Amino acid sequence: MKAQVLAVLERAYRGALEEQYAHVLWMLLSLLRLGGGIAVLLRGNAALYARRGQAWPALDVAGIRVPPPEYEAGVAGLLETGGSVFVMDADLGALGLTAPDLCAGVTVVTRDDVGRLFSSYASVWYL
Amino acid sequence: MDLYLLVETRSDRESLEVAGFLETAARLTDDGHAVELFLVQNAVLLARRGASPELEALIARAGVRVFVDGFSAAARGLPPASVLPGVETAGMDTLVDRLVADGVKPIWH
Amino acid sequence: MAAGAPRAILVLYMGAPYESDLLATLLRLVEAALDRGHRLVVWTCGGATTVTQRTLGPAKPRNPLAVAQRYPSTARLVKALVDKGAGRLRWYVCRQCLEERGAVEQMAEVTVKAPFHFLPCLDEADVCLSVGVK
Repeated sequence: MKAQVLAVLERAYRGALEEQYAHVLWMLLSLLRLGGGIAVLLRGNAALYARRGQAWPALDVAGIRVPPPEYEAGVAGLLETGGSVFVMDADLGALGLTAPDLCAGVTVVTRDDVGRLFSSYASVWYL
Repeated sequence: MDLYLLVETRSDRESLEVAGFLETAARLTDDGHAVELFLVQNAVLLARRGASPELEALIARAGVRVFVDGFSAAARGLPPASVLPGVETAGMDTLVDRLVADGVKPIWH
Repeated sequence: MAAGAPRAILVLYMGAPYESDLLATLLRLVEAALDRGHRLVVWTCGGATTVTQRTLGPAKPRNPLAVAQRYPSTARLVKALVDKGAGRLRWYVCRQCLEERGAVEQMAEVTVKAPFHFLPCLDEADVCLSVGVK
């Protein structure tokens, strides 16, 4: 894949029951493992995906356990596979988070960095 | 410097994310890039006079061009006379032409 | 590339129908691009894989308030664009996504592809647009 892509995620916590494992972070990790050049910018509520130590309450429906979406594993997988994961300091502040709350390897950026970040990638996709 | 074709589909009344996208557009011009903003679907409502100070500020910047989709505007009862000065009414043919122009980096929101 | 030369456009169409007017915008964009001589690949992902189901048939359910009026289905509209494109529009549907949604009966005019087959499409395209949210 010749193009380097910055995927921007804004909307969070959607479709946990419908998608389970097949959420957008899983898709991006799969792309990265296939050799695609993927970086992720987590904006708004999606910044919560970058937290370390996420706990997902068990969801049982009529006795059937629904596996959790494992967003943290998605972020960790992206980082372990050589991808970059960014969050914006303003979003962290709005969510009551600081850098130590995040998975190791997540990069905190500022509003001033956004233009440079967008310019660093051949494509920017809001997913 | 790059030429960005930004397409916004939502109005600021639907989501705070729209303000973030307009801010990103402004940041890109701060960095010296050219920005073309195409408003389609509910985003055309941003172009109504008085609706969005952020959009008005963006239009005033050098290197910025703003289009509003005529089809979306008509469907939402937005007559040309009520659209901000400086905003160009256009159709999908214009969006396609801008999309395939040399050096354009398209971003759809 | 010379101005006005036909381009290869890849559109990644994500997200569910009914959430917004995105599908209407997309089909208008696709037709405008075809009218201008360009070639397109539309890759559908997520809920977008449901708009080309064969089981939708050519028309929406009858409108009980206007029984004589016929309304085209999304499948019929996509078919019409594929026919109009005469080979310049390829509409792909991600197998993983359609199976997840039970949208396994796809119309003949589209092609079901293994996940991430769009990567080679991305390499072949002059321009790529990602629309909608997964």
